[in-house]
Amino acid sequence: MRRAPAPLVRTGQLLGLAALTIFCLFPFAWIIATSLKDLSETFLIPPTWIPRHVTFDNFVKIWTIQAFGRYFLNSLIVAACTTLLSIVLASLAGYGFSRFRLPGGRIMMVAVLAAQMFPGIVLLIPYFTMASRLQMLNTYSVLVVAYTSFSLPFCVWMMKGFFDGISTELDEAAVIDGCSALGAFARVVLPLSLPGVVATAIFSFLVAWNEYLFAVVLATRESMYVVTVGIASNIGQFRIQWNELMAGAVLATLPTIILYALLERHLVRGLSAGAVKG
Amino acid sequence: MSQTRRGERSVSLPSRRQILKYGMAAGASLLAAPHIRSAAAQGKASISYISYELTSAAAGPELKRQIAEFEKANPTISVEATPSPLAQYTAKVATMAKAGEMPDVATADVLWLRGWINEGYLKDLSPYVDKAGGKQYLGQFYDTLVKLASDGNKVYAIPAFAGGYLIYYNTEMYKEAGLDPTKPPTNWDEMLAYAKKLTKKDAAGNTVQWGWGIHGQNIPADVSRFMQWMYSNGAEALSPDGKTALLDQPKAIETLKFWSELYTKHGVVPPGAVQAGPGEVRSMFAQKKIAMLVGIIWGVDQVFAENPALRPITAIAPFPKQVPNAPSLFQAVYNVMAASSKRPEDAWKLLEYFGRPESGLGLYKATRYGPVRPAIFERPEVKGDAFAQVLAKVNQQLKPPPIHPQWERISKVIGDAMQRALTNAKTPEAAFKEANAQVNQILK
Amino acid sequence: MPRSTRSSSNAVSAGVPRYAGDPGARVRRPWPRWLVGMAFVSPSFLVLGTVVAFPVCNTLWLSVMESHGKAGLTFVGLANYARLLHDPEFWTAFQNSTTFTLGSVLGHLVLGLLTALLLNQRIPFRPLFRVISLVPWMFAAVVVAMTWRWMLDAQLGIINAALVSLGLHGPFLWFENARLALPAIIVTNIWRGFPFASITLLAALQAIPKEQYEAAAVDGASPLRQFRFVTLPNLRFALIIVATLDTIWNFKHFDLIQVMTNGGPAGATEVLTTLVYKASFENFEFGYAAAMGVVMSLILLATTVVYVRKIL
Repeated sequence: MRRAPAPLVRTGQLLGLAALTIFCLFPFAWIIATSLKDLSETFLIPPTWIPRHVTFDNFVKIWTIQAFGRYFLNSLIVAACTTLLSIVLASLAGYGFSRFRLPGGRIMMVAVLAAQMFPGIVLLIPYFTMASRLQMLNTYSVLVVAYTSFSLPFCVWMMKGFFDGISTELDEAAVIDGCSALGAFARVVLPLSLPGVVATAIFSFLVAWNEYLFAVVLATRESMYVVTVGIASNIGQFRIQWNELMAGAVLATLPTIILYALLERHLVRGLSAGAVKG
Repeated sequence: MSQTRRGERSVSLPSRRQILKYGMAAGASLLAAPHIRSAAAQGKASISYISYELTSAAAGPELKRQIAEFEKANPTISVEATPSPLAQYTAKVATMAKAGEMPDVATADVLWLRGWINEGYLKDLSPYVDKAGGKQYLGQFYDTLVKLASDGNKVYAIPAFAGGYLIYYNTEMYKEAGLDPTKPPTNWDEMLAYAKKLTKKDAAGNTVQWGWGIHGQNIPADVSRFMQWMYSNGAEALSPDGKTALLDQPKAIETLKFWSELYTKHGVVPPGAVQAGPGEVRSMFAQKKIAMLVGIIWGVDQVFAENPALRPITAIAPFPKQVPNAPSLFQAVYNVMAASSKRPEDAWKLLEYFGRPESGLGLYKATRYGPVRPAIFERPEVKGDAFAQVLAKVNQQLKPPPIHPQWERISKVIGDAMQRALTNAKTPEAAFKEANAQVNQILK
Repeated sequence: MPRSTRSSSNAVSAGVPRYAGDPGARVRRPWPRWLVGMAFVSPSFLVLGTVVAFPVCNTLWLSVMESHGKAGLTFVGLANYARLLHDPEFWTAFQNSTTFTLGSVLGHLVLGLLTALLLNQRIPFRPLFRVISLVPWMFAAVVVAMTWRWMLDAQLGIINAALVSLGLHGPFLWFENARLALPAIIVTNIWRGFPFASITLLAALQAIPKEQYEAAAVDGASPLRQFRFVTLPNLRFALIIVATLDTIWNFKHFDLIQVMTNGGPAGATEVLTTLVYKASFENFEFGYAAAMGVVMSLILLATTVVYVRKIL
């Protein structure tokens, strides 16, 4: 039943949206503005939001002088594989934790997170040494595996949480009707928890997309650098190439926006949510 | 529950075993995902070179040009040049070194050398240096630079570029303040007097121009600039044998006092000194907010890029000496060879190539990175450069930061004291006394 | 074919054979439930186990060693841990880490919940606003740190310029004032990370059955009471999970703080992770750094166990 919300509520909504937009976007606007300026305008006091001379040079520079295209491709491949792997493994594991009483289940839940409780810096050298001994340096696999190990623990917890929100009567009904456990999972519960899958997918993608420390260390050849490394290359010892930095940052947001735009419709209420009986 | 979602399909559902099989196949294929390695040069000996300077818009192209020249002169060697961002560069190199995978040749800032030598990451270059002429070969570089790269009789690095600290000043502001633009301050009293004259307020009483820019971040570049003040006053951080801290000595405290009081008492420094690093201070100079700052010669190009109007009105001068013959501190960058290098002979050739006078000259012309040998200043291309001649004079009296393996840690303690004095959290005397105790603790 | 009538507590197989050689039927021994559950869970453990086993063991081993550069490692037992307990730098960093984490997590939860509630309603251009709310999360920590540090700069920053133009008397020395530096970093971190909470809570909100709201409305509950008695209880799991994960994530976060202040001014923003970085790659004390890492993980372990008891 669609009723127009009360005027008070509507005003509140609009105010909230305005505040949200300003809060989220003003640094982004600054980043975009800087990416369209050249250095002589960047540090003007007082600062200018709209550049006097708009220039797209910076975008051209990072694409031609720096190998941004290659970095982008690498980031896309690694992030996509990480997301897929994380989603598949985490959905299965989350379902297992959610629906089955496992011996030592609590301990296992904590154990899943255990490795992620160490700061990345102390794990850096052993990760690298392992990768080096296994001849896996400078491959996509090593990055995918490393990033998955970062995001998977969190994804498992998130998926378990989302599954917990779906009544078990649904899968029990499915099993009574002849589904195997895997079938109940894949055909009944998973479709209902698509919002959760979307949230987890975006989380996993961003973990992989924005990772810097391991990206810069596990890739010893420029051909395996990713976007974050490319952007950080603009911060030098004696000068910071602000405009190129910001141009890179702007381009780096595009895949996430596209991914989200593709997945957004799944972030809505599932069709049969709550249809427990009949 | 929608009837169409499930039906009597149990027979067509994959069995658990099938799922496992397919799952493992999928997983394995994901893990065996394209092993794209960059094409290693076929049939050529390939050495790897890593440098954060390769990402610089100014130095990168010049270095690549030199590498191309090197490869032409040495057809059997190909160089894989890997640019690396500066952020976490030391972590990256240390990690690679610990796994025995450090690139054959790498760029290293002078501040990292001691630590890397101690950790065993670098190869002793003495055998190669001896073959190249030993003492005579090393004699072409500034003594200090060589000393910093040495451990006893062993040499671990070849200087790439270096420059003593000097001051930039805005000649137009000097003229407006009634100061002679050809006579920059020569001691601290003049420094303070000039700075005061160069600090201006507008009609409403707000300060719009300051005389001096202070670097107050706790980063090595800023602590080095402060150490320049110390050297200018004849003060020391450590005793010559490196066993005692000298921060509680009168001259050291005097330095911290004078330096911080420029900010806290005399108001000749813009607000925000604690967060001002080299980039910020240069930007303020470029935006005509400050009249003078301490820096390295190759920073001027960034200033001019930010504000081309400054090119004709910027001059540089040696740092004012409070005691006669006070030396200059400097920034220096070296090229090093990995201890685990599998092609040391070829790597040495590259090191030697980077160390040639022509390479240094090319680097100076492209980026103004200071030459590492006095002879360059006599070259015709450089002789006419006013800035270069100032640098030549400054470089005649270079003194390194204390050569101590824990220097990075000690400089952090000094940096803390600097910030405490700037924020009035402690008096300069108390700050340095506390720092002194901490440093003595580290030296034990 | 008769449907299986076995109870659903067993993993059931259908297709009971009608005659001995019925090719259309498969006979499966039902697996016990816990084993099925393990089958779901084991792939993740397999992947994680193989990847992290060596690094974690290596760290534990290093933490009882002392590194002497070229000379190698020597066994020192619990000396590193003892040194940690007496190190004032460690305790300051611990305090800062805790403040940073608590502030960030609280900020994320509050802001995330408000945003999720807002974006769950029928508003015009909803997909657009959902993308907008995701924007802060899209940037790498390095970019966020550089941008905010510049925006908060005393002389060159737009935030100071804006505050001054609003009539406030500057300058605001965010990174010079020891009391302002950590809050400034926390605000930056809240901006950067709240979309995680908002998108997770939004997904959780989607799963709340409409009937519960309708039932509450029938009982006469106002929107506020509906929030308190329908929304919040349903979100309990999600909130706790977000809080737990966010705590871990922020406690061990490194890039943002290192680039923004590197621990300054005078240690006011030194956190455990920056300390570990300095111990490792500036002082080359790998054993000490490992010990610090182990202590950090123990702290997080204790925190997680507390949370886990609430929801498992």
